[in-house]
Amino acid sequence: MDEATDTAPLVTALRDLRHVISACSFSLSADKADERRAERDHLRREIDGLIARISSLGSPLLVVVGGVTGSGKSTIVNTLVGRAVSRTGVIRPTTESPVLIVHPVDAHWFTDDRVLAEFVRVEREGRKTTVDTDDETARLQLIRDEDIPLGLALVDAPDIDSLSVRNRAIADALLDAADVWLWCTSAAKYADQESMRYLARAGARRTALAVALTRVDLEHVDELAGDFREKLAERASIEPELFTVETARVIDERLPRPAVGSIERWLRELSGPLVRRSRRRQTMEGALDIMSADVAGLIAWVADETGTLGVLSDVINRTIAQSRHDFGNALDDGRAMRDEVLLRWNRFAGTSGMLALVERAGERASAWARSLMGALSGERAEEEEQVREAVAIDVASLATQLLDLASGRIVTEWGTIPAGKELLEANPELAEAPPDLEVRTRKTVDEWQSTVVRLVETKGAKRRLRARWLTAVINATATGAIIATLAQTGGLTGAEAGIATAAGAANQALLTRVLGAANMRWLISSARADLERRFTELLAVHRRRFTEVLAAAAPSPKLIAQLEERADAVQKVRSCLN
Amino acid sequence: MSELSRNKNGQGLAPRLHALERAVDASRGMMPDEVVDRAAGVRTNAGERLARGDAAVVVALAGGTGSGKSTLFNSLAGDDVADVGVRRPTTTDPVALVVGDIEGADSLLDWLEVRKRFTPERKIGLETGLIVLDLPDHDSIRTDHKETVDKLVRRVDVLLWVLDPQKYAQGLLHRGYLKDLRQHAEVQLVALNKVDELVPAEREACVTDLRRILASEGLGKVPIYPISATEGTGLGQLRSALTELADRRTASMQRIDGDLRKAADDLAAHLGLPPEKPLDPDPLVEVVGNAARVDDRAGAEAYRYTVAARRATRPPMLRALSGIVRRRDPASTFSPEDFDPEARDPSPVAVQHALQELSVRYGRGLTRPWRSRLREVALNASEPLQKLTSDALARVTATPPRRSWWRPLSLAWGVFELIALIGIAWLLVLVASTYLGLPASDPPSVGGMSLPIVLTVVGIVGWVVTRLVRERLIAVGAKRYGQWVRRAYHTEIAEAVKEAIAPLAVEIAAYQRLVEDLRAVVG
Repeated sequence: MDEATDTAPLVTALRDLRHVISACSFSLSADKADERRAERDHLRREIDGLIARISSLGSPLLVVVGGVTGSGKSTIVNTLVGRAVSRTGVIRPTTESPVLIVHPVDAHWFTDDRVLAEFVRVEREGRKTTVDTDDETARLQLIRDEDIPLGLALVDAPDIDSLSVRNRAIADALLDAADVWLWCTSAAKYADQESMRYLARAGARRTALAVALTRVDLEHVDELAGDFREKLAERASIEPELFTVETARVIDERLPRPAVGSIERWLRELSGPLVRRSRRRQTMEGALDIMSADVAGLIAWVADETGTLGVLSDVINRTIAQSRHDFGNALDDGRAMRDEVLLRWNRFAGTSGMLALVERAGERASAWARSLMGALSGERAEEEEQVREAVAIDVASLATQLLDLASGRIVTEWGTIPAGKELLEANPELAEAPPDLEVRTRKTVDEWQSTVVRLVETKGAKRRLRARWLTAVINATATGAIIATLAQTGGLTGAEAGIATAAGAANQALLTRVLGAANMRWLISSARADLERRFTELLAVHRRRFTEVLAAAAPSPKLIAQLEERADAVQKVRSCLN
Repeated sequence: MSELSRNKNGQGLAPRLHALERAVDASRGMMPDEVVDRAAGVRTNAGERLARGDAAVVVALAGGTGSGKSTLFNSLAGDDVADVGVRRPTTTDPVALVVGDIEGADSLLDWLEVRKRFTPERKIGLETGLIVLDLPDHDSIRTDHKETVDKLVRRVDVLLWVLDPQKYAQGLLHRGYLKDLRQHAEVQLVALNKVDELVPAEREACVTDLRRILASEGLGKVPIYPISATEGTGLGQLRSALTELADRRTASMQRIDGDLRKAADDLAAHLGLPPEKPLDPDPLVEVVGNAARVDDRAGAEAYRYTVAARRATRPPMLRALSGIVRRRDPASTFSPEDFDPEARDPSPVAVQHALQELSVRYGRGLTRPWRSRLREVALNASEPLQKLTSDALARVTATPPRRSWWRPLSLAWGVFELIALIGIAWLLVLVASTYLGLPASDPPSVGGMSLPIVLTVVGIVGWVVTRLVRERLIAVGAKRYGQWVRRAYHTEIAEAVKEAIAPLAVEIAAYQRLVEDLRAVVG
């Protein structure tokens, strides 16, 4: 109970660290993602193992028998136990489902999921049964055996280098949780690269381990052991206890008992309470020592991803800025609207009696003027509607085309960056135009036109257009202002450049008379600014499609700080183990 | 050489190698570099191997550390040529066993960078022409061994994998080598060594399992020889298999054939589906035509025709009057006459967008780098296209044609006008003289009708009918002329578009060539 309270801060610190580590998704790592995720999972499992052992310091020492394919791991386990508990044979790989053998008194530690939580327990007595390996979840066969010394649990792990990727994952999970490794390799394979990589990893974290060199011919024992010791020191920086198991006939899936005598003695020694405690501590301290370095590795990768994030968002930002610029240019060069709309309006403005009406607007409206208005209003309303519709179609299609071009550009540039390419493949809808794009642009343009009408209303109200019957004039003026906004060129407003049309004078005259020259300039520049603002909003919506996908994949900006902080926190409270 | 460059099917390797060379060039930058480099390596290796003749067949013993390659090698050589030992790894430098006096063997071994060579003095049960190599392992801590192995595995003619019961399912062997050699089933053998350590039932089970794994890798045809290099079990069969290979002398060609198929498969895996149709510029012509407002231009021309035709077919009287009476103010709606064709070129945004759409349409099914390239090439065509379109529009110089029927129609109309006027005048004279009581003779009558009345009726009816006919004819003429103008613009724009998107067509053609080349590489 004392131990549990003392170590509570460390367990909490480890849980916190594990939580932040889980947040490293490495979704922007492209082809490096698998490797990085594997390392992250390693670390996470190591932490799980640490938590499990800290929370139950009195639990049996977990001795995992691991090694290369065909090195005879299961045969050794069977020999140690004295009966065939683990499947052996010539068909590789043999052990697909790991076996945990423990003294019946200690079995209670493993029946719940305090230790090796990710494995489903299969209780089994005596002879092997077929275990369904199609299942996705890894199973752990639990065997109670009185030949196993108290305080130890022996696990027969699958090989680390066979064709079966699943075997390797299971073996990794077991080795990460182990207190002590018993590494098996044969005389023919002891210089295998993969095997040495695992031993070097164990060396780096000072995992308690012993190595068994199997299938050794009696005459070569010394030579091989010497050579192997040298290689272990040189390549893995370890000087472990080395057992040699001589080649012998396998009977009933077991070697003759004396072949594993030294291993048996080692296990028995290991089961002593003091040795147990020191070995467990050694492995735990080793794992804690290297944890900061491991987390630093993750941090470097997260930083790398942050860089990628910067590159990808830069593409978005540059493209969006370019689109804004292009829209401004299209407005400047006056090609946002078809010429005939302009011509049609100017002709209308010049001939429909509008000017005459406006001339009289300030006077008291006579009955005569009212009747004339009535006669003209039908024709005018229709004409205005047509002109505004035509303008809306043109401006909306310009906006849609620019947005489409922007998407195309972002998609193309992302495609040249591996992480961007992966995002595009995971989100194929990014390459397509959003289905509501046209509706949205059209709505935006319609709203803009309504805004121009309101602008004319507010300006007009201050001037001469008070009478209610002049709504028609307001509408006509607004249409005129819409046309003028789109027809101006080179960024100069109509009054300065002269509205750049073949017959712009009529429209200009209309606007000037209704609003005055200063107001007209103000109105046109406001309308222009409003249109650009609305297009910028459309762009922002468009931009979000990409930034949201990116944000979902990118590491949180706080992740690095959190990793550093939590890793430090673990180091600060680890002294409670002593 | 002529015999060499043909494989067993009698098909030439040379054209396949050329096709591979073209395919490699076309794929550079569009596929992962390592894939292209590997294909390029195949091309180089094949050329270099072919240059060294087919007198020798090179068989390499390959496998993991401790599988007994060197022991097998020494058994085959009948001598302790290769170092065998218990320490792992043993063999660092490859050793060659050259059977008999083979022409070009030295050059071949130089190319393979195998310096240790051994020719047995006595008969060893192997056919002349065989070169057996003992390779280092590929899986030990000596990573330089793997480099040597990787190079030789790519260059030798036949691979004899030496496996053992402990390690035959090793991941590195299968994932690292065999999975890339499924096209080479004919030039691979497997020797399952150390079967002396197994009882017969185990041996059977082991071979069956190995065969299952090989079959799952597409190598079901590869023969498996259970042997024991130390005890000599099964070596006879292995020897005769090697002898047969040496006899056939086709191994080097089969090896290259496999390499070529593998390279083609690898490249093809990074290639999407080719566009189904050749580049069709019509949709783009339509968009550019719209952007350049071809319909408006054609409408304006048709209107000009109508005005000119109306003017030319006015009856003389109306013509005289038109100078005095002003025509009504032009319509309050847009008149096509106002259209100024010089005023605007198509909007660049519309053109760029149309080009992007075109590249998307043709890029569908292609892999991303090609899609990107198509888009880039298409958008690069935007500026030339605008310029070419602007030139094309200027090339169309349409003037409303004068029609031969205008003058006769005008004259006919004038004649009816005259007849009506004469009739009316005559009637007026008659009425006036009756009113004034002046003596007047009765006007002559035609068919029981008074001539002035007949003249008036005929003149007016004729005038009206002529006017109706004129309007109809002008309308039809204007429509035809408008269509002609429209077609003229379209033809010119189509030319411009074709010229502007030529680079895109080149890209698509290059892509299709690549697809064909890869087919040719497979043979």
